[in-house]
Amino acid sequence: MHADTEIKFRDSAAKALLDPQLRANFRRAMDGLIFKRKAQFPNPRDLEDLRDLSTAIRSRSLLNLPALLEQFETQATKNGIQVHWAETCDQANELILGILRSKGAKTLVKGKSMVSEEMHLNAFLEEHGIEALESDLGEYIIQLDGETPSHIIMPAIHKNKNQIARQFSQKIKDAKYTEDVDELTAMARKVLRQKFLDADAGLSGVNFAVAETGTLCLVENEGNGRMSTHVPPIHIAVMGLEKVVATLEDVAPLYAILTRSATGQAVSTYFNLITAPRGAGEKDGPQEMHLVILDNGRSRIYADPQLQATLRCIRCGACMNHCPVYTRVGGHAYEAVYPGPIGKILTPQTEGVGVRHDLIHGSSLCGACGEVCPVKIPIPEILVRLRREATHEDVGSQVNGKGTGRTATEDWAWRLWALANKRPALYRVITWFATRFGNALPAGAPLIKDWTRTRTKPVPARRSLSERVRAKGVPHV
Amino acid sequence: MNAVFEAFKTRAEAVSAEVHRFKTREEGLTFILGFLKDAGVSDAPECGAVWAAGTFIDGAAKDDLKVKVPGICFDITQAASAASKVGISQLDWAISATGTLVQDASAVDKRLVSTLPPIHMAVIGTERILADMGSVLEKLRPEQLNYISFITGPSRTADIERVLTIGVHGPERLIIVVVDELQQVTA
Ligand code: SF4
Repeated sequence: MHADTEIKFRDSAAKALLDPQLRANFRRAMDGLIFKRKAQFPNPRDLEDLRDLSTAIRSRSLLNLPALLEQFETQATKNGIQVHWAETCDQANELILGILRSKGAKTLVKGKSMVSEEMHLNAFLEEHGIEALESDLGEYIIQLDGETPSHIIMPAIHKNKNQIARQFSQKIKDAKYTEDVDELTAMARKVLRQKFLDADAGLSGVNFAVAETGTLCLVENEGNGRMSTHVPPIHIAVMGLEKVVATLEDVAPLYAILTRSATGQAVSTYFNLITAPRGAGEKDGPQEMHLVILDNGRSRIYADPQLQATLRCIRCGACMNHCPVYTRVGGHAYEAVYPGPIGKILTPQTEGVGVRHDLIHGSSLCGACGEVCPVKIPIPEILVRLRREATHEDVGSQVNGKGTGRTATEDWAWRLWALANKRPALYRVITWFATRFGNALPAGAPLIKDWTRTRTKPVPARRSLSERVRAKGVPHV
Repeated sequence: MNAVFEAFKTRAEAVSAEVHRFKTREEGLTFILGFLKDAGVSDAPECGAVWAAGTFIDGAAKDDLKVKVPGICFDITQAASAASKVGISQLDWAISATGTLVQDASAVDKRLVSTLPPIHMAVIGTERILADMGSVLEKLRPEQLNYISFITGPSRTADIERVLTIGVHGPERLIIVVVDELQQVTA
């Protein structure tokens, strides 16, 4: 059972709403992303066709997930990739630390990976004396300030260029103050280029893993993904276990809808199909390639036929770009690695529906996320399901923390409700009081205060329905 | 072929690549050498050009080229690529629908010259331009190739205020040299 004070999202969202700069930064960026995505799909029919196809591919992949993972592992191993499995984030972190230690590696340069954020890998490695440096420009910006990503595609979108200019001039050696975006980018490039050349190992995420060929597909624009995967002598990739698809033919439509939905690009600048480490007789390129496949609660999600849809996600970020809540409060208010609508359904399932019931309720259920999702994840339906899971201990459900989201107040309220509805005499007494005196209750009264904070207090009718019906002389009431 | 080329060119230019087309290999080579000179390629430090192997360059008299433009290097290492101004490589396929270049980049030197120097010159035969990604995936199979790269325009980011910035980690200029009379062996 949970104390009522633990609703974090409400408080952090309220705080975020008071920051006009933050709101402006998000509004501008999200409007741009919405517009660019729309321009990529001039014909709604084509968009629907591609969504249908992508949904089918992801659903089919999940249907065969255990077999595909096995096939992928066999194939990748044959190609020379060392595959490791991690049930928890701790195990994944230990695995990566082990790989780095066995090679005496002291520095790791990272391409963008949300799974590594999920693992809090950077902090873990720092604790163990290994420098982990983000190389994606957005990730680099937030790492300088010790922040977490506020968007899964554009991690530093909560900051504007003046804030970044100030930050760079303070944190980068010999940097001058400039608000010119090209110059800021050039500064980061210079610092990071040297780090790339000196790094002992590189880390990347994975967008799709192809079972048939054992190939890792990596989508990116900056070129840091390419560098992370072939400049340092060791390449470590991390991915969630849901990322696998059967064939290369499955990848083309998913890639097409991913870049269009994410940044409104027809294609990304770089798309890399990585199948094996350095070949025999080559002077450069990674000598070793490792892949860490992370579960972290995904198997449990997988086991539920309805919730399994959560794993179709291709991490495009379109749901957050279109979310009326996200665009107003920004990503940090969620206090979760994955913010926005996808985070609202994913985080409670991995961390527990009880502990994160704040997220499950932080939605108006407007449906925008489900409508834009390229793989048609029914986010609103899943939210409703999780709301029930948070307060019920249904038999057969595997949901993490089911039934632990009840609060004492809510419990009592429903008990009284049930009592009143089972006893007509009591019900009549209550409605009599409510119709006579309900209006006199101030909006700020305890219990109704939470409801009226963002809503108008309901005005009770002067007579209850049963009173009026009886007054008309209808029999048997 | 012209329509396909034009479609490719339009798409590639839309993502800030520069596209030049030549009839013969000789003309293409002259253009590249002229470009290198104008770009200030020389044997001074940080001014070199790294040129990865490929049918376009393999038959050429490499020593003559080195005399014409000092600073050209055919022996590619990571260090040489990182210290160069221009990287030149031959691409295997192109996609007209998106202006994309596709490379069997199993040989790591091809990856290095197309990633590390600030300018990447990409040579490709006109008949290697195909319609879409599907057609390319029929030709290049990861079963046989360690690393396949799809490259569309120069390196870019929009991470700061969604302002488009060209040239983050990879090249800031992508110059595509399309040559009509270029025989390429199927990778
Ligand atoms: S839930 Fe759908 S819209 Fe949201 S990130 Fe995942 S794929 Fe994109």
